Order: sequence, then structure tokens, then C-alpha cells
Amino acid sequence: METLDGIGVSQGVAVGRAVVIQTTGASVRRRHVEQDQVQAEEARYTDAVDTAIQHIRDDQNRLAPRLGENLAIFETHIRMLDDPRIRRNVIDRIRTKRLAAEAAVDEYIREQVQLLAEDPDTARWVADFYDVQSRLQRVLLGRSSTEVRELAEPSIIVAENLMPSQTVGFERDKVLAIAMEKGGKTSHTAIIANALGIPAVVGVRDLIESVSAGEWVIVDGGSTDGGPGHVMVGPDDDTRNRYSDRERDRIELTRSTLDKLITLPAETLDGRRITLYANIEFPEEAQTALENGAEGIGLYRTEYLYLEKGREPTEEEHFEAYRAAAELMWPRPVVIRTFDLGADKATGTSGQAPEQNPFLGCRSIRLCFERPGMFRSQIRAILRASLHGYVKILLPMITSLAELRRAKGIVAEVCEELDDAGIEHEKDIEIGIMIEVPSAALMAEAFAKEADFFSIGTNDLIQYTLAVDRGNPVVAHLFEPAHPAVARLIRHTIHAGDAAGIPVAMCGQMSGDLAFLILLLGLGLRQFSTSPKALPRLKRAIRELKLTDAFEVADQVLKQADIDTALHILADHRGDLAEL
Amino acid sequence: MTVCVVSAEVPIARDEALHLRPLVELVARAQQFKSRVVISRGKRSADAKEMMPVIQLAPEHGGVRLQAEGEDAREVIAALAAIIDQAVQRVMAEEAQPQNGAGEGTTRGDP
Repeated sequence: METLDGIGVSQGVAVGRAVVIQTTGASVRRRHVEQDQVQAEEARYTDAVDTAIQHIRDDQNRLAPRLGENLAIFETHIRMLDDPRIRRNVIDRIRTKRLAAEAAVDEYIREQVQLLAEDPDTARWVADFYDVQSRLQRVLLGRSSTEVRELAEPSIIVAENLMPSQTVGFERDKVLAIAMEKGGKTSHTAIIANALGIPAVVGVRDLIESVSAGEWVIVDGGSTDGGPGHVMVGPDDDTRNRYSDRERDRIELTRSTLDKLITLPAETLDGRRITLYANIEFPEEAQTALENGAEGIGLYRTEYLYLEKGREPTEEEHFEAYRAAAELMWPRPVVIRTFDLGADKATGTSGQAPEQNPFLGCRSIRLCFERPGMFRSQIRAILRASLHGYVKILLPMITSLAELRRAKGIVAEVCEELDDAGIEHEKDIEIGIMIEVPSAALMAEAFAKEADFFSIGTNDLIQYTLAVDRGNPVVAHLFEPAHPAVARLIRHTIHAGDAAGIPVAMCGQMSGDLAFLILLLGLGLRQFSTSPKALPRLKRAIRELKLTDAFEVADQVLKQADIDTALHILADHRGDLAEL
Repeated sequence: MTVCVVSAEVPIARDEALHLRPLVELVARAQQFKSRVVISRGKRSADAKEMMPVIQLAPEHGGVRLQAEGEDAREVIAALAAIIDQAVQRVMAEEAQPQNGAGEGTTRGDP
């Protein structure tokens, strides 16, 4: 047996026989046509483009329920097919070289692909071009490349580089796993396999030459997305059985522990009840949140509504999304955060030059003030939706009391507007603020008098406190959630909230990270909001901890001047949770 | 009609933000304007209305420069910058959202 290493991009293990797929474009005969046929070939090409686009749209509709936002890949392929200049280029080849339509397409795509393949930055897009090419040739020549949907029995797909359209064309129950020689964790095929829950390993060197069709293969997608994954070629009976059993056990174990956990309270060993909320981007995720035991939605990131549509949503679009989430979660709360968009969006519409320093620029609530129309229509929709459940408003990036008052003033005005128009809405909606800027954390006592609740946003709070952009690889290591300065700001915020009797939740990435759980509990945090799927693990960890231990850890961390010592303290306590 | 020349440096805060999808979108959008638009990265540049040359620029590291000339130069620059910004925003929003099993893989001190 030979074991090959790769990048695991979709978790799970599968054992099966290999189907090897060749993807590098089928060869097309370089056929010429008579001069009087040129016009007909042009028309044949144009028609084929239209038909291919229609085929993509059909696939899109067929797969929409399974793929969600990953459908954008198809939109890109449509734009590539539909590009007027690419069309003209192909037509020129038909005219000047008297090439048949399929030969002109083949020549053009091959030239372009060669250019892309030369540069490592663009080489990963080659599969997309072959994909578009094979769509077209399928129409022009009436033949198809290897179609995975025609698989006779459940198999493991082994390929040099799968095209996205092949991956989505899979019948889920016929494809046990995917192994690819090319590709990285952000390649389209990886994203789609993950979305469909098919175990997958990509970037496996020498894969194609190591595997023969029909051979037994084990694909192990690893235990973290993007971590190591393995492909075992030619395993014996024992190994195969062992892996099959292990996978079955793993699935059953996860399911049974999950089921058990969902009905249990999130309670520390010494009996302190903790509230667990979920962060969502789309209303449909509220269902997943409930299934994972969420007690409410702690953060509904509405900017996805904008990003998904690529434009400002209408009031009705806002309303429908919020109503759906509120109804699903009722009687649990849904905290809707108003648009937290970057400064970039403002430049997009006002025509100003992009900002030099967008994170310190016109983003988030500041942008909402700049664009009152957009903000008001969102507030109107939230107020209307609040009749359908228990809805609260969360304002992002508040840095001063004046901003909070101004935002509350706008909400009050919108309420009046709705009253005047005779539209029903919640009269006394709760309005909270994100604590994600040091000035807000330091002034938390003052804010606590005027806000109905706090939600600590750690990603920005850490970034602004430590002056680190964690997307910048040179300084990313300085982004340290356990920095004692951050811990102090968090503690200060929680104490101010407690003293004023308003709830304090945390919705940043830190709140779902088990490494910081004991510290956060010790700092007094009682409400956590994180991604739905991280909730069961978080709950299990909470049920293993004692609040008294947590206080001790937090005390020690707060006393440290040095980050490394603080990290050591956390690492020591983290050991107990490693097995969870 | 006044003809003006407008240019802008657009920072790209995230590698990989400007992948195939936003690039293709950017070209399709540029084609809707009258102005001539050039997109450049370092010393290389391309006509922003030509899909293949723009894709071959692979403009995702560091940033790009947009330059437009024509009656709607300002508008086209703003529109293209917005597409790039949105792409970056999308990547950052994905980062902000913990992946499956978050809390496992991000631990310090563990191998």
C-alpha cells in the first residue's frame, strides 16, 4: 500500500474503487471550411454560446438548493462565455483562417490556457477555462467529456484537476470521495466538495501515476479543513475494513454526542448557567442554529445581504430575511446588526477616490450615517420584522455617545414615519452596541446607561487595540486575543454591563475558540455567540469547567505584563480540554 | 461633454481576493462605460475591457492602479474600485466567520 499526502479540504474518510478522470480538454480536429461556409460557422458558434449559457443556467437552477452561494462560479462562466471581445476573437479566427467553429474555439482556448499556465498565480484558473471550453464543445460536437453523473456504482473520483461543473454534476450518493493532484484549499472544487459534504483531498503529488482505474483507494479528508489529508492506494482487506469501521464509528459518535448535548444545559461544573447564541449570515442558518442548541441569534451579520446581491437590498428584501429568521427562532431573540460594511462601499457609489486607511475610515455605522437612505430602509425593515419574533438592533463600530444618540434618534424618527403611515411595528425595540473599539470599551459605563445591551466584537477590538492587521502576514503573529490589554478591556466592559444590569455577549471569533473559554468565563462573560456548528463543542467544554478555576486563570492573566506568560497560563489549562 | 482623466490606487488587503470571479465581473462592468480604462499591477498593465489580458495580470497581490480617460472616467473608476473592495470585503467577512469546528484548529501551543 502506498500513502500519498495532500491537503484535506473536506472532512471524512471513504473507502472505494477509483474512477480516474482525465480533464485536460479532449482533442479537437483542426477542421477548415469553405469560404461560403464561414458565415454559417459564425452562426453555429454564436448559437453554441447561447446554448451553453442556457445549459449553465439549467445546472444553476438544478443545484441551487444544494449549493447556495457557491453558485457564483456559474455566473463567472456565463460572463466568460458571453464576453463580447472573446466572441469577436473567436469569430475572427473563423473568418480569417476559415476554421470550423469548434476548431476556432479550441485554438483560442489552448492559447489562453498556455498563457495562464505559465504564471503560478493564474495556473489555478486553467480548470475553469477547460470547463467553459468543454461546455461549448459539448454543444458544437454533441459529445461529452467523462461525465461523473454517469457513474455506475459508488466510486472515489481521482483526477488531475476536476472542473467545477463536474464536481457539481456529481450525484452525491455515487461519489464517495474526491482526490485531486492539483488544486488548493480555495479552489472551486474544494469549496464545492466541502459544501456537498464529500470527503476530499487536493494537491496530492503524483496521484495520477500512482492510481489505476478500478483500484481500491482510501481517501482521508483529515480532521481540519485545510490541514493534512491522505490518499492510500491499494490497501489490503484489513486496512479497508478498519477504515470503514472507524468512519462509521466516527459518524455515530458525533451524532449521538450531539443529540445528547443539545438537550443538556450549558452549565459549568459548579452550576453556573451560560447562554449560547449563534452567529448567522443568512436566515436559513437559523435552522442549523436551532439544531445545534442555540438559545438565540447573538449576531445576524446583515452585510451578507448586500454582498450576496452586490447591491443595496430593498426594504422588502431586508424584511423577508429578518422575518424568516425571527419566526424560526421565536421565542428566542434575534440580534440584528445593522450594515457593517467597509469604507470601500462608500467610494463605490460616491465616486470618491478609495480611502488610504479604510479601517480607520468611513466604515460601518459611519457609512450608515453617510448614506441615511440605506440605513433608514434597513431600520424600517427591522422594526417591521420585529412583530414576527423577538428582534433587537445591534449598532456596530460605535466610538462615541454622540454616535449612539444619533443612531437612536434615527430609529425614533423611523418609528414615527411608520406610525404616520399606519404600518405596525415594535414600539420599544432594544438597541445595543458593539464594543469593538477601545474608546467604547473604556467608556463602557457611560454607554451602559444608554444602550440596552453590549456585544463585544473581538476581531476589531483586538485589531484596534494592538494596531495589527492580521491579514498582513508580516505582522499577523502580533494579533493576540490573549493579550493582557485585550483581557482588561473585555473585563472592563463586562463589569460596566453587569453594574448597569445590561447583558454583555461576545460575538467575535474569540468566543468560539476553546483556547480562550476559561479566560472569558473568568473575566465574567456569560453569553457567547459563535458559529452554529461550533456550539456543541463549546457547550461540552463549558460543562467540563469550574467557574472558580476560571476566575483564577483570569486573575493570573490580568496580572501579566507579558503575552507569552499569559499564553503559557492558558496553554496549561487548555490541556484538560484537548480531548474534547 | 468634458473629457477627464482619473486614476486611483486601489489597495488589495487580502491576497486571493481578486480571483477569477471579481476579475471577470470587473471586465464586464468596465465594458458598460465609454471611457478607456487601464488596469495595472507593477509594470504590467491591461485594457480593463479585455477579459483575457486582465485575468493574465493576476492582479491580486498588493494592489492595482486604475486609470480612465473619457466623459465617464470618474464613474468607471468608482464602479471598478467598488468591485475590488467588495471582493476584499467578502474574503474578510469569510475570515470573520469561524469555520466548522472552529475552536479546534486555532489553538496556540498545540502542534
